[in-house]
Amino acid sequence: MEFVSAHTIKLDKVENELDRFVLDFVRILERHAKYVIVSGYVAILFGRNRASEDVDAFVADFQDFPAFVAELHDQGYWILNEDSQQEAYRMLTDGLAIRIAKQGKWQPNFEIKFPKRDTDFYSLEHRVEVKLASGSVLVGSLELNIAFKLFLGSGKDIEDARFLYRLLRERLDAAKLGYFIGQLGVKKAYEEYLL
Amino acid sequence: MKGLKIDLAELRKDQERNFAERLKFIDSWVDYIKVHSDKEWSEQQRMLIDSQIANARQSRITKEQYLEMKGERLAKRRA
Repeated sequence: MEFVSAHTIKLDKVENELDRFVLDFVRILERHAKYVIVSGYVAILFGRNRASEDVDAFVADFQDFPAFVAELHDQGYWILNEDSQQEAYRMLTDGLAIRIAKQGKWQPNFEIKFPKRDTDFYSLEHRVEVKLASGSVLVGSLELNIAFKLFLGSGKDIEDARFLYRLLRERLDAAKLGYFIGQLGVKKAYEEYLL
Repeated sequence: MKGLKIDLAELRKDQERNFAERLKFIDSWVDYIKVHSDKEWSEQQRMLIDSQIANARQSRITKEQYLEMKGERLAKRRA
């Protein structure tokens, strides 16, 4: 793992099937929209030893949603939870997620949403590029990801937070992490599970 | 069901013990990653994740059942 700059990390990892799914999909997605990946896959990307059915991402609207859907179909993907392109877009604007997987499969899938909360916008504006051998992935602020995982609070979320924190703590911005921990009201969980 | 005795306190203790063990495992895995090359740890991760994905794909659930498990379905937007 090489920290190339404050916003770029290089990982010389052997890509697993989930990584390849993500890399293939973001190659399409980034042609149509600004995106950021958050939550569980971020921990998995850095080495957490678990699989995930879904990869969560925020997208800052699409330049041309019908063109995006057309390219998805051309490249062998489908939207799992909606057949109609218009309805799929309406779901997004209604604050719901659309799920995209390889045609005929439902996992792994990308769960895409439009940003709604300040934390969603923050993730989109403070992306970290993780470079792998066959491409790059843009993930949200690691400090926010850790604090937000503590906020979500399930066993799996706390484990993800602990993994990222223990792996990257020397590289994290302590002030930023402290700010998010305070804002999200997770100081007790931070002290109990991460320190 | 008659006569079933559940010791909730004992179950909770087990739950806490399991969670503490998982956290310990995470710490040892982090230590392993820190002292091994990306290629080494990620090959182990690849084997685990690829097999979990392969297993999940073998399940015979339908797309509709999958979405229902996720609490979504097409009905979510039409409700």
